[in-house]
Amino acid sequence: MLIQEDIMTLIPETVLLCHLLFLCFNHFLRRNSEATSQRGKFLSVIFALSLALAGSFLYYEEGFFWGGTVVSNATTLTLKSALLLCAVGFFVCALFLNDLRRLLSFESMALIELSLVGGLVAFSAHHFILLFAALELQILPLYLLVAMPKNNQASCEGGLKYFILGGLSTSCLLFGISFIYGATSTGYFIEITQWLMERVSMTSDIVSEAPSLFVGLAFLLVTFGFKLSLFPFHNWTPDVYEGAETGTTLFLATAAKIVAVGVMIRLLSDLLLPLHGLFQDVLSGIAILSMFVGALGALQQTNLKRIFAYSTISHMGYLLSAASAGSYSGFNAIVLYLFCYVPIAMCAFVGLLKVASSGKKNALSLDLLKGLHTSAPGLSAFFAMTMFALAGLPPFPVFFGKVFLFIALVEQNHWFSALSLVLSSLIACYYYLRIIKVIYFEAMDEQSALQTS
Amino acid sequence: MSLPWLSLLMCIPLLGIFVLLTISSGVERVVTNTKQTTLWTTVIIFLYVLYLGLNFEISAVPQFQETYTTLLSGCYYAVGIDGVSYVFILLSAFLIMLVVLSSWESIKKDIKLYMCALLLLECCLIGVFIARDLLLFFIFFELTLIPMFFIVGIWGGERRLYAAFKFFIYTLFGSLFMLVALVYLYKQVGSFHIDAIARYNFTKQEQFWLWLGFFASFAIKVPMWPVHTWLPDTHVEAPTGGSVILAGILLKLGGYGLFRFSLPFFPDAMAFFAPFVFALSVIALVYASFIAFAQKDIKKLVAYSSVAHMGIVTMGLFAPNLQSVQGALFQMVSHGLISGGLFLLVGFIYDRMHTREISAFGGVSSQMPYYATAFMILTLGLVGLPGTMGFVGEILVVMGVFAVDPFYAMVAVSGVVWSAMYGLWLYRAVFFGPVTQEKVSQLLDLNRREYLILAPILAGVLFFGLYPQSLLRVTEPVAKQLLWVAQEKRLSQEAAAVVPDKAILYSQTEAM
Repeated sequence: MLIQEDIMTLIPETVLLCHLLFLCFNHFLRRNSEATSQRGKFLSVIFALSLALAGSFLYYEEGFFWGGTVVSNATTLTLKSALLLCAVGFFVCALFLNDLRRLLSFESMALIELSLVGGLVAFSAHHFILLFAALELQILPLYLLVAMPKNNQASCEGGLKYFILGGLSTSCLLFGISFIYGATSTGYFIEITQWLMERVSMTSDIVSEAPSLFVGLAFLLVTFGFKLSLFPFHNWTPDVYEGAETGTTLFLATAAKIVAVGVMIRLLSDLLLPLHGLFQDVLSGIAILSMFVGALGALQQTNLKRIFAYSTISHMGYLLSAASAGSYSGFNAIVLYLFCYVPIAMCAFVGLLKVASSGKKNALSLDLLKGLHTSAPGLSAFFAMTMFALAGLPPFPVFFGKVFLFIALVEQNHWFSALSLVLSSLIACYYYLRIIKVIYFEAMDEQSALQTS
Repeated sequence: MSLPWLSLLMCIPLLGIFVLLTISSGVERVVTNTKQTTLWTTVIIFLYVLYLGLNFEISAVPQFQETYTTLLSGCYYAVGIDGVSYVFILLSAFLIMLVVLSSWESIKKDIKLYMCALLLLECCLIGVFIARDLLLFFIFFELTLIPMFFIVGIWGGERRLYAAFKFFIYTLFGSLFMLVALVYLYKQVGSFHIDAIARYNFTKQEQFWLWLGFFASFAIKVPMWPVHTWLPDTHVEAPTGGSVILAGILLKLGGYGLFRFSLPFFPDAMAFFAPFVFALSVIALVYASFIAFAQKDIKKLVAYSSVAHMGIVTMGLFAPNLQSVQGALFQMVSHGLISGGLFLLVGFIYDRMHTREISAFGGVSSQMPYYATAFMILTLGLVGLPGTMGFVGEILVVMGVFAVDPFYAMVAVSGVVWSAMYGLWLYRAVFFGPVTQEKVSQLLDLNRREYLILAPILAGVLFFGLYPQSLLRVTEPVAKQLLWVAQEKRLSQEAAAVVPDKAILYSQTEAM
């Protein structure tokens, strides 16, 4: 009876794993017959994902399961559905876009699904060891995915960088967990929260009482700084985005970021809320720096993928600034922002895929967009709208996401963060406009040059 | 009978865009079809607005209201028009119709995109003026940037990239501060609806900061000295149609915002900052006039004259009494018609000569007598001659300001002299004297299309100049209402400030 309930809470993960097994058997047993077309595989993945999504809603039950290591509540449900929706969106794009489908071999599809399972488990993990294992499961396939085009030097370089730095961040996570265990002598989130509540209410100076806890938290901060590509740990992002194939980059910039943001929200809201006052300055400092690094870094770039990498950095900065507000409306704002931002980011990369397929070169330089307006008016209108949306102009969804962030920041009187958000998004606007300029205004230049000569 | 009249009005331009997009580029006569479609869409919109006017009752109550809740609590899709919004919608529909006609020949490349941008702009402008919800207003307010960015960037002059970016970033800079202020307002009031906010009493300190946030946006839009520098650049580089819309309507968004939001929401801050704004306005008036006098480019001269004239508007809004506010509103409309008309005229001659250098002209009146007449009437309107629209707004503002601060009123009166200085100087340089340039001697006078564009503008300038009451009557109830709201708020603030003092007094006497 109990085990049944336990399994029911992990129904999306179970469904995906079963499908993965089915996919593998199907692939290896019928390798020579080519019986299942690629399109059929995509359809089956989409079906499994929808089933997982439906299952997560149907068998939703609040509480702690698996002996307290797994939690299920409204937050985990929302995050899981966000991730699953994002994955469905990804595979639907793949179904309709030849360019994306071509990039996705059977192996990469399986790896993506495995990474999704890891992400889903990470959302509901309520024990540090489970969290660690789930995050590993989520990120290991991504290293492989980035390095998948093995004849491409940039991909290998990106994959290696991602792997080394990712490994470093994972070891930081493990190290941090051990410190926290040392301080609290437990890995269960429930017990740690209790421990914290007691200490916070009893003593005024928790830092001197349990210094090792804060060493552990510092290590956790490094890990999440890496996963979210926040300021001092952001340098891998442009290289990896540039090196990976565009389809993989699309996955990295959407689904992987949802996982990282979701786990961060869970840790901050469920586990560390009693301590929030102690590190909110650190968080908002990192957030503000990331916003500006993202905005200023992109100004000098000419590669489109690198521009989007920097844009991701600043968007993650916006998100973290709301997290530093430390209120429930802040966490709500983050989730809403994700719902607004992720589809737009997906649109941007889909646009990139189309552009890349129209050009001959693999490198996505800004010049590739020149004259796009005349050659592909529909695509360029789509791209321009995506850019305005990313810049946060109304009436596109990211604008409303920003309004929610503003509301959360203003409620807590975080004026400095709010003003930094304003200024950095103004700077960021410049490079989004620059892309539109290349599409629309420079095409005209060439035309008029042709006419005069 | 409650059709969603205003939402339908906003849908017409969108429908026009849709029709434009369905004109496939392979068909013959695509250019003509595009122009015709756009022209008829704008004509329909204009007639529709006139029809709304027939059913419009002149009072301070917003009419044709629609209110729907949205996902965010306290944020509504709320639209409605009162006298002031109606006047501005009519102005927008009127000017955009003429702009489409004026772009008939002068826009060569990518006409479909241009017309789409114009229609999108019209949709946004209607949205701005009918919004009864601050967030809705903000959305349309920002959205106007996108089509304008394209209009300047694609069809502009040589330095169009610089101008388009400067315009976009500059304006966005201001409006983001407004967004922060807006969010704070929402946090305090719990709603974005104008009526709900108007009922709320902010403390003086809140008013101070919120007013600054709003002012950052509106001052850049108006534009006031010293944040006016984007305007001349954008005007010079924009195509004729873009300039007309910019001067005629987009600049009015700043004045409209100050009137609609800052005046009733933050009356104490308005009073507190009035001397500061008066000083800025007067500087704009005198400084921009002298700069205009020094220009070599006709368009730049007219652009600087806009800065000077909008200075009068801001002055009138901050006096604030009925006379000056009415004057400011009138001045906005008259400036829309007069400088819009002047930009059209400059565009006409640019199409013929491909230059706007003042020194390239001279003696044009002998070649183009009708053109010269039209230019004369509009220049006199610019100068503020009695009998034209320009006079009414200026005199009302000056009279209203005189009651508050005679010094600034006197300086504002001197503005008439300055505008006469550069306006008449420009007229002399371009139209009088012998014909020295060979190109000028080959100029042809206005053609039929150009007559058609100019006639209604000239008629409007003269009609409203001779019979201003027709317009003032429409705006009066709204102006009265908003001023009353502001007054009530100030009184209640004072009462609130007085009561604690008394309480302290009583407690002291009791203690004694």
